[in-house]
Amino acid sequence: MDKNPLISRLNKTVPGAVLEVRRFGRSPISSIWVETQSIQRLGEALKSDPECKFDWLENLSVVEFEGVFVITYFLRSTVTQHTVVLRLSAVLASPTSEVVIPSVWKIWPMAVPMEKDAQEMFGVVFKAPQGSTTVEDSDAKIKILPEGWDGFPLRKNYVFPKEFINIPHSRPVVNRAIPKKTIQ
Amino acid sequence: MAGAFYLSTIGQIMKWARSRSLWYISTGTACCADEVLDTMGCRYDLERFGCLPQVDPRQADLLIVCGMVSYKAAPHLKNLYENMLAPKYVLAVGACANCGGPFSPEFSYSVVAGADQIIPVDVFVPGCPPRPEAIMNGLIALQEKICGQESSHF
Repeated sequence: MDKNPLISRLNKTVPGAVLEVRRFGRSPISSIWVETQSIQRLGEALKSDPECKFDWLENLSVVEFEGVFVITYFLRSTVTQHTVVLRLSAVLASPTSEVVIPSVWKIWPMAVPMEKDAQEMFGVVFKAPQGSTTVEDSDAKIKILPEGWDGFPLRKNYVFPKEFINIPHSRPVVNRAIPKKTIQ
Repeated sequence: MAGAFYLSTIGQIMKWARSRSLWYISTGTACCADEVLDTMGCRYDLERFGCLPQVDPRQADLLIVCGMVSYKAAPHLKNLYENMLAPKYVLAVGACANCGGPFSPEFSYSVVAGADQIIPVDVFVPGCPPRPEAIMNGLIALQEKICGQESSHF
């Protein structure tokens, strides 16, 4: 039996979704490692939970650790002022491939710009639940990178471009050594 | 004979008039724009050099590039420069507009290594950010360059 009543409620509604509960750093906020494919059901359970009501996705961050992407959801409630952190990980199959994660934008609509940022910068594709429109079809037409950009810039193995739209990404090396003056 | 007269006397007057009425358009691409705003303000008063802020590139003689230029902004900056009527001059303010600065090509993937990779730059003002005195100094150097004088402001 868990000490945290929220975890025991989650284990009842979405069995097998919660893998591990830790503290978030040194703060009293609990960080829940969850199973990747059950994030949508878990999000709905957390949003509709009568005592917590996590209706606000505060932030969504992506970190790459040696071929593993860790995606962190910072949740907060505007009703009860509770805070919780959800974490899930996904393994990168090959250095250039994309990682597919279930999207939560149907649960928290503010996830759309954050998921699009993660998609452009890390190549983490957030797949919408079946029967709904994808993230691309939603209203936010945000593009951070210019058109025709190649690669995902915030990945560890990203190589800087040599040139883009005929602008070289380098400067010619100029020898600015001061000529030595001989003391007479 | 008329051409010689033009080149000698009227040309000098034209150069003097151009250098003393540098109406400028400022691209606030980064934080150096704050220093340019300070230079425009009441304490430093850029307008006493004959500089008037413009919003239309067709009525401007001088393009002030304030700060770093990203690859996404580069085509728009070039478009702005091409819409200006000749004679036109460019003043690059700050380390990022000069060479990339802290966002040099070794450290950043998205910043152009200097505004001179896109458009021809007449005067570079170093600093991160440069003080308003340095921007005024660069402007006086540009005025002397237009007049064809040897600059004494370095």
